[in-house]
Amino acid sequence: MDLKKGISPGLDGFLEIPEEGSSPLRYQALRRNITILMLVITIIPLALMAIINYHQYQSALKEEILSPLRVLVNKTKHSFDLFLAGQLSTVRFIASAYSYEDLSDEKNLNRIFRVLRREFPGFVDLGLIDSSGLQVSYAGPYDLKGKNYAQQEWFEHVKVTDHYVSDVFMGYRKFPHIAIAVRYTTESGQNWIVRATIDTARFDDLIASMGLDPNSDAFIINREGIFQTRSKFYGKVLGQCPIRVPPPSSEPNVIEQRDPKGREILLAYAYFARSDLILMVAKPRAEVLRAWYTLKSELLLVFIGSVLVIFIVVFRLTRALVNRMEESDRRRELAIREMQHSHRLSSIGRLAAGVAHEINNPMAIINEKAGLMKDFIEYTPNFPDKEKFLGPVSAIIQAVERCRNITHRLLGFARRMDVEIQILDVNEIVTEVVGFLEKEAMYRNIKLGLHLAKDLPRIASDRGQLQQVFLNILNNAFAAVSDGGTVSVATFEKDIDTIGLTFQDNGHGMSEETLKHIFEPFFTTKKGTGTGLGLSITYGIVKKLGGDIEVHSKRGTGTRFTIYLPKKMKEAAEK
Amino acid sequence: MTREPKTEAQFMGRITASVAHEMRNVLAIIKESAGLIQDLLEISTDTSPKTKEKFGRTLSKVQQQVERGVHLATRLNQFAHSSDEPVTGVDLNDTADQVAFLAQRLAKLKGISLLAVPAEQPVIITSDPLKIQMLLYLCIASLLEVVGPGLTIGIGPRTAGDSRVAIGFHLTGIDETTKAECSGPDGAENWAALKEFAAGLGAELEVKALPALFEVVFASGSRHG
Amino acid sequence: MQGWKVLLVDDEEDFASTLAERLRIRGMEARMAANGEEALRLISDDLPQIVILDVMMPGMSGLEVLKRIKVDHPHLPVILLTGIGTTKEGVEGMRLGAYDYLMKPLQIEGLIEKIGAALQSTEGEPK
Repeated sequence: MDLKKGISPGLDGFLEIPEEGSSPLRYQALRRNITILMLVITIIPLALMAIINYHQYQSALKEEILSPLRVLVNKTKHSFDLFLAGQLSTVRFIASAYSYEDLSDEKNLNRIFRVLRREFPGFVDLGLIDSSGLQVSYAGPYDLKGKNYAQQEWFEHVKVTDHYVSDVFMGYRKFPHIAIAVRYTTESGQNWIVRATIDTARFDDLIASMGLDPNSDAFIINREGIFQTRSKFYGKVLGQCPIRVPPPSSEPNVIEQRDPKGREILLAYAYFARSDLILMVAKPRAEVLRAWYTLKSELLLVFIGSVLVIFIVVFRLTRALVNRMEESDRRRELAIREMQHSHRLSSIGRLAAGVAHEINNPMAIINEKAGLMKDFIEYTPNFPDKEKFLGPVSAIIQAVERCRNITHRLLGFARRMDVEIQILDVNEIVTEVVGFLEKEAMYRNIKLGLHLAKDLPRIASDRGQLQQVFLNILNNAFAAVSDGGTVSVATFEKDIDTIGLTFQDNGHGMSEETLKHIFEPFFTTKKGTGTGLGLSITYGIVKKLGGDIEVHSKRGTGTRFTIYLPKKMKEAAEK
Repeated sequence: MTREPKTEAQFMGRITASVAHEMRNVLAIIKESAGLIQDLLEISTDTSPKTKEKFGRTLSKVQQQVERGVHLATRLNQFAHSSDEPVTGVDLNDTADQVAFLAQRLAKLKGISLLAVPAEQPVIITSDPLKIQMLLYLCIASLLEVVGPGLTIGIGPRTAGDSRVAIGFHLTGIDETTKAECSGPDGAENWAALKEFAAGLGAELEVKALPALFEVVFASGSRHG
Repeated sequence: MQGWKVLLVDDEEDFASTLAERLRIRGMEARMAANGEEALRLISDDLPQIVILDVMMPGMSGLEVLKRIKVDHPHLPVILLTGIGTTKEGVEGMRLGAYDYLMKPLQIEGLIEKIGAALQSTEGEPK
């Protein structure tokens, strides 16, 4: 619980939802933060799992792969042990079952040998050696009778223990065989040695029975590392095994090594029980561990694939989500502003209308009162100083009329502040408005010049209000020029977002002083007529439509109004 | 122009102020003319006392209406200047008074009176004066839907706790029978829009039990919209 | 103009009374009502020839009064008086059967002209 409390505020700060009206940067930061968080949450467990799996698999698989190897080696070692034990027993049997006399009789020995060979094809020869080391009798293919073995190591060995199994050796015969010798001692102390030679074909058979794959090599070495059987890759029989003799162990073992060829191999070995031989199986590690490597690479592939997918999904999702959020925030803001906007306008309009109407009432009363006085003055015969009185009374009535006009304008103005947007062609509107003034132009001989840009892009704006603006400016221009003067209108594309219009006249122009106040409400140079609201309304409308208006003028030369209008109505941002 | 209007609200304010100014000119003319007539009557020896009296009555009525007009023009001018600054210190006591005036016609049509009930101390908030007025105006418009005729709605600004301010709307002078005529303010049609508008100004609406109606509560350090 | 019976309906007393006086100076019979109820009462008591009706009144609005009048007295001409912001109501009123509308502050000559025209158009029609 405490942890949660600790994390939550921090997390909240990290995941702070941007306030309304935030800059895009806040959303960018939010996107980034959500992305990071999601990536961390998904990838870390995935990676953890992948690592754990990797190690689990590694050990499990290794066990899985190495185990059979170990078992195989063990089994084969047992077979070898059994085989050798069997052979030894056989020789021992011969040594003990027959008397010295039986065995020294060569004919007898041969018979025994023949029977022996029939049962045990591996036997190559059989011989009797007396206690002094002299080969007394011999059955076999070689000529060994009379040979003395007293000097030989195995003889010494047999004298101590009662049996001997030799390593593979070549001797006279130039092919590998082993010799088994057993010493038999009678009760009377007489002893003799029966020696038999066994070829290593059985060895090869046993090894072959392991059923190894072609890339593996199984062979037997002695403690000095001399090959006892043929090795496929590493050397010939009785050659030195280039692989280091593994440390002795009672159990079969598997170690990883590099073979002389530089390949990584798994070396499974087992020490024989009965002799100093070691069964070695060399399997290329790649071969053995191929399944593991496949799994490893598959795991990696899946992991990388998953991470990629996660990345893509997280990025896309976050972006989509935050974009939606941003979008809806923005739309909501826009809607609120729109509502406030329209609310404001209608409210201001309504309020202004309300107050203006209120003023209307006292005005109406004053009007009637003044009218009453006027009636009285006019209807009463012989009213003294009629004219004198009628003066101020009329003044009151006129003042009321003026007020009425003003409030009327104000309300109309407030109402007109609502804009109706259409796509329209400004040239068209200019032509239309100029058309209104054609008669007057003709009558007064005013030259109308139209220089409307061909292919002027259409814009989004309010037709009625543009008409008003153009009409107002043209009216002013007409008022400024004398008969025979020139008024010209030009339209052009200002830039990628804006179009422009110029209204030029060669009328009397305006002074610097006048120019300063030109857009002020109620500022008028026309004496008596007009409320002076025209240009200020024009200014307001142009601004409302998102545009700009400029005026240049020189006294005596003329005046130029320039109006810029946006092609697209931008939200006139209200602060 | 001292400073060009930057927003439509400012522009409308400028125009309206000009109109108000013009009206006062007009009223001044009327006042003067009326005064002149009075003077002429006084110095005239030929007009009968009856005529003088009659004119006198008429002229005093004219003066009355001129005063009324001036008062209205002043208020209109005040209102027009609400949009001068988009953010400024606003005394809600003044605002309540202003809106009570602005909305009185609307209320009178429904037979309801508005009464501004100022607090003893100024109740200041930093915000858009025009928008605050609009908010209150919308509040009243909303209330006019649910309040029956013949009642008076009081507009009372006050300071709430921890630098917050509030404006309360309440019914004055009601009894058991009138309770039935007033349904909950949140039943008004534009209640949701009103809440939204209030939220834009950092304010919340709290409906209260009769005779109170609801309160607009501005969050502390309230923002302008 | 002589003897025309006019009913003025307006909540602004100063206005109505002054206008009534001005009409009387010109020889008309002018009565006043300050609200819709009073107006209807006066109409039923003593039918006028024409009603001058202000659209902006509290309580029963001008248009409502117009509707009521037209129900009971379809041929009684009504001229509406509108203010600056209520010309819409004037147009609406004409759809509801008013003869015409005028904007306050008035030109009294204009009003009298309209009254004359309205009375002429209803002459010969059943009262």
